[in-house]
Amino acid sequence: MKIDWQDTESVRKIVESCIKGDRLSQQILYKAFYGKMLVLCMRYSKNKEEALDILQDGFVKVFEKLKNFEFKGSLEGWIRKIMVNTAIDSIRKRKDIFTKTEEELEQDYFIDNTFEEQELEKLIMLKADIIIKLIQNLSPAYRTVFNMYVIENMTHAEIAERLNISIGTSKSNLAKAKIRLRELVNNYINTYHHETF
Amino acid sequence: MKRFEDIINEKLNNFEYPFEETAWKQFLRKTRIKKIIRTSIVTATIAGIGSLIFVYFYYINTNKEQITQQIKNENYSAPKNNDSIHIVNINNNISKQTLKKDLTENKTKSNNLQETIQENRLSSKNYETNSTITPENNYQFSISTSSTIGCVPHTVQFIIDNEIPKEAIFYWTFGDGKFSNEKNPTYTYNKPGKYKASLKITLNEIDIFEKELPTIEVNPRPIAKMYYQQTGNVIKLENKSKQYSSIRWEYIDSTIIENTWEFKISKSGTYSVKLIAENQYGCTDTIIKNIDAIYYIPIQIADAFTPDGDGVNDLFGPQVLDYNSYNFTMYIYTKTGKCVFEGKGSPIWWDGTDKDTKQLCPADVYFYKIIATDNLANKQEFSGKIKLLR
Repeated sequence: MKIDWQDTESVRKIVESCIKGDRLSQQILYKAFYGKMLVLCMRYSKNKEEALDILQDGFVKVFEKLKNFEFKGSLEGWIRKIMVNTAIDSIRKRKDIFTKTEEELEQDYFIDNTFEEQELEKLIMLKADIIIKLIQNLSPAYRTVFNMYVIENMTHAEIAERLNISIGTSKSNLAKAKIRLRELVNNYINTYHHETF
Repeated sequence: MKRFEDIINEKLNNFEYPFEETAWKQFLRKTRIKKIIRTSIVTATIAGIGSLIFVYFYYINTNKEQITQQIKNENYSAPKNNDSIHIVNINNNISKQTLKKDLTENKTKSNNLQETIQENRLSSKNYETNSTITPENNYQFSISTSSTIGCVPHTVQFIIDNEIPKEAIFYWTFGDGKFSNEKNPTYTYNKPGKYKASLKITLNEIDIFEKELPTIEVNPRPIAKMYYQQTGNVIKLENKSKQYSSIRWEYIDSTIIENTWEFKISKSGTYSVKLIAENQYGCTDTIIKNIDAIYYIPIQIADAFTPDGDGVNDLFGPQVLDYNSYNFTMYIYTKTGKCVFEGKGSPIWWDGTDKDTKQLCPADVYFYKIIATDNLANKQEFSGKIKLLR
């Protein structure tokens, strides 16, 4: 059964039968968004196991809250928001990941973290699943801020509020995350340059 | 040149992981457990409220009795207390249940942790030194199984994640009497059940490792079966599945969950109908039937007519409700095979005259052949006898 997720009527139909508890419709919805949402969860986790935990929790919330979906934006966007919140909540439970002294923070601002053009060219050649693996290699704190800022397009103020950290911590974590990622990309390419990536 | 952020976003937005059936099954298990807890809380609350109401009425009644009979309070306070204790007990049970569930969850988490620790320990291990030390305690292997829950026939891959000296011999048992000596065997369970597989490894005739693996749960599959029948232009389907808990019909874009289902056709052709039966374990069986259905053009044909000009039954031809949707070609023959009428149109009528002589045909039995077509390009031929009466 093919469903046009751009068509409001088909989405409405499937959402309504999901709310009624129709297992098959739920499976269709789950199947349709599994791949993209797993990418999202992978970005926030250190491995697939952790990502699947978040994914399943997220989908439980999706089906619970589906009756509140107002068909205003896209269903995918709505599901994505729930997943991001679930991922962030799972990280927030481990508060100790964001700890730093003020001096350390100040130093971080001055580190150069811009990618050179040559490095960007290398980055373009990398496959998406490799990039995900490199992001997974970041520390939880770096990874979280990196995701929220670079991919979820949140501001430092928003990130600070959401994670209950200072704006400075958010900025420094992002700067360090980029440096670390740059290292990881270079390392990866130097190690596997003979293979196609 | 694009910005670093744009490259990352573009890459990740255009990528998605392939769907895995096991993830959905895992999800089903998760929601099922949640549901059970929820319903038990609901029933417990209802029971609690019920007993509260009971206490309340009991209290009122006793009060009434007290007034009328002027009996002292002491006798009645006791049962009330008993009941409230009862409620507390119920609540305690719930919290214990949820607590227990949380505990098991934590336990599985810590198990996973343990496995990764084992793995780490192993990668830093040096095998060469092992022959001199008592071997039993020094080898730790991390074993992964591709999936521990599935539906019959369920294929499981057993993998030892670590490197092992070539001389090692493996003894896998799969919990159903079968075994293997491969390092990483793949085994298919063809019967439902709970299986405990185990692995023993010997090196130089010494057992260096023995472990029982987590239970593998192989669930039965339902049998999807359907029965269909065409009556007129209606196809009726009936679910005849066995060992199922729910069914779904799928036809083009619709999903139907009723046991029987019928739909009207407006065109001859092959109709592909899918029936999916699912059991309480989330195992499914699917059957697809391609039904070759013939659309019957709903026409009425009389078997006699009287072309005498009295306005009743003067004409012979196919009769339908809506002539605009059809087109007919009609031929009338005598018993000897001579064609006395030939015409096209909708409606089309024969008034009982011979097309060549323009004379009235005698009272007799004639034969007709009518070819009907409709707007949907259905075509059907009808032939039979017609009595001309005078």
